[in-house]
Amino acid sequence: MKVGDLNDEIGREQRCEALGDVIAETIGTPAPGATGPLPEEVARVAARRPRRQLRAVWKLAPAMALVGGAAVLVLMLRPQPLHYELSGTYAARDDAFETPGNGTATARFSDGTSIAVGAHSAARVRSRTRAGATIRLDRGRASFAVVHRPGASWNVEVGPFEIAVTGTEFDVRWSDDRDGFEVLMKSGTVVVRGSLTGAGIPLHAGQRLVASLTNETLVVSEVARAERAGDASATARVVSPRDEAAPPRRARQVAQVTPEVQVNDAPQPPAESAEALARRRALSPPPFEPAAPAPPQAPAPPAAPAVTTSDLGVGGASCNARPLPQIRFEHAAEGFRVLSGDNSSVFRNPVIDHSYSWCGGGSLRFDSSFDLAESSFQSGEAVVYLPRATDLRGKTVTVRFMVRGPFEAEFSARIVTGQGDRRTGNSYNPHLTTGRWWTVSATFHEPPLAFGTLQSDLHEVDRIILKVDATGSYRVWSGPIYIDDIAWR
Amino acid sequence: MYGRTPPPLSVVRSAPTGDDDAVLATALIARDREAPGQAWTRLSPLVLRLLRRYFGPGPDRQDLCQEVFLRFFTRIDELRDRTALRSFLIGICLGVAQNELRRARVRRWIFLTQSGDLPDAPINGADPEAREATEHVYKILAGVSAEDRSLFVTRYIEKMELAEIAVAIGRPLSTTKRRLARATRRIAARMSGDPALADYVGGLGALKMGKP
Repeated sequence: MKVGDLNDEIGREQRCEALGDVIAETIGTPAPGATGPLPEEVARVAARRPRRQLRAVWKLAPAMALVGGAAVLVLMLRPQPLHYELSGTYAARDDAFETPGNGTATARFSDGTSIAVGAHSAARVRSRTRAGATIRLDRGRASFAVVHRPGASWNVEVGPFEIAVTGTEFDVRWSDDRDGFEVLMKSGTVVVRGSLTGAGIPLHAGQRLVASLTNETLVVSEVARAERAGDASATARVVSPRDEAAPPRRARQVAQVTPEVQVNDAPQPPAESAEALARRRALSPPPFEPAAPAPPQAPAPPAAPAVTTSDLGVGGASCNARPLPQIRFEHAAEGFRVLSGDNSSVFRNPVIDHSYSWCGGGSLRFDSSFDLAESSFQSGEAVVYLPRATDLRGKTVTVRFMVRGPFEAEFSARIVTGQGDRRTGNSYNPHLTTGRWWTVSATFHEPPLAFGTLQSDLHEVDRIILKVDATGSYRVWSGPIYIDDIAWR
Repeated sequence: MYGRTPPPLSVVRSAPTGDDDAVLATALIARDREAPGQAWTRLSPLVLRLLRRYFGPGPDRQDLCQEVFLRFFTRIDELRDRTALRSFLIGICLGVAQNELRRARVRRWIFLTQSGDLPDAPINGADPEAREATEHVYKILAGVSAEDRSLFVTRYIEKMELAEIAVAIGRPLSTTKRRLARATRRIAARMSGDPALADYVGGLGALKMGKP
């Protein structure tokens, strides 16, 4: 502040003070007693107890009443969780219910969703919201028909799996031994999460998911409309989440040995077409039987001169021979896995097929495409991973297969066992043709034929490979190949 | 115009000690039966004087004085520092006075009086020049805000310390200083614009400076 400004301010204050003094002198303090005694009404106020808290409460009372009313209104208008009615059985504590061996139950929810629980099943309504509910299937089967609504949220818990539903129809099966989980989609979409599913597997209408915790396999199949409606004659696509990448297009170079070859034609069923036969079989599929225990291992010849021997047997005549084959390709839950090829593979798009089968109601089908130049010998490989590492020393592996392609096509087939990248075995079966079932066998002895570092150990084989080479003069062709009944004994 | 009779340069008021006020405040909060009477006897002259000086020449505002004490007794539990009882009461008094002044201005706006001016009342016991100067000052104060008027009265007439004024008007000391300076500038400017008052103040200044 400048000196001049300061002087001005002091001057202003002095003028005000001077006039204040004049006023103070002019208007002085009242004489004693000028105010009189304390008025009675003022004294009464002074004697009152403070009521500040009470007044504060009363001041807040309208606001509190408003808030309370609003809260009551919100509670009254809040959407209530879905309720349901149970028919066919009674709900126990925690909304759990079971069905007897000869009865079913149906839970109908207020939004129209219905859940039909099959016989010998146990389920529980774990929680309910206005958007949906969480159902736990402890065992058995259940069919869900979830009404699609905006914001609907339904969950089905099955063992270690969880199915997120927004509006769909599907069936669920869960076995007591925790080894059979199956979802059959009828309409809509769901997402399955839990064991073996990674970040979740979306399923849409017409797909079936089969998982086995014991074998650690999970298969998603395409189911035809007829099967969804109850007819089992349909095809299924196999997706193995743990499969390796497709093998290179170039055929693996395998040393050839001169096999003892005996080729016998496997005649087609005489009176009935293959499609009709398969459909008939699919309608009453044979029950899956686990692989029979391997027979006692026969002592291997001490000095077997040949590593492998080949044999082609007759097809359908031994269909029901006991013991049954270890892998029958009746359905995807048998514990095997299949290496699905990519677009560059000769064999690709593996599916469980129910229209052609050497025995039973299903087979493993690949789409084969031999499309290289005529001068080359193109190979296709059907790689089937075994449910568990298997000792094949001294055992004969039998594979049955059929190729549907142009009648001019000619090919050879070999059975190879594998263990990682290492392989053993080379049964050469030439001059095979399309349109009929072939049975190819190979017996594995120790010591196996040395393939250098690629040689696999026969006592711990993890895969069996059917290797098909296009031969003959007509080598560019395509068509499905059906593989059925892999057995070793 | 005005003579050169020097007015007293300061006002000496007998202020009870803070301890007395604290004891009285404690008794009031405790709802001592004798306390309201003591407070009235001790503090009502202060309130009446402050009201007189706030509103200027006119009838005593006994009604406002009672209203001040009604509020004072009602709000006594809000008193935090019991030694500041007097400032607490002055704050209430200024609030009541400002409200009354605003109401009076509204009454003037709706022409409750013909001239729009507050009715004058004779001032007895002072020299005519001082009375005339006082009337001029209150005419000036009638044109400033109620808060500026409160600051002028408490600072320059009641001679209260800045800290007391800050407590009374319920504002921080720095804010009180700033507002007081602003009020002083405004009121002094209006005084300078009043020739008669300027001459009177000039004469007072000359007397203070020892000039003839």
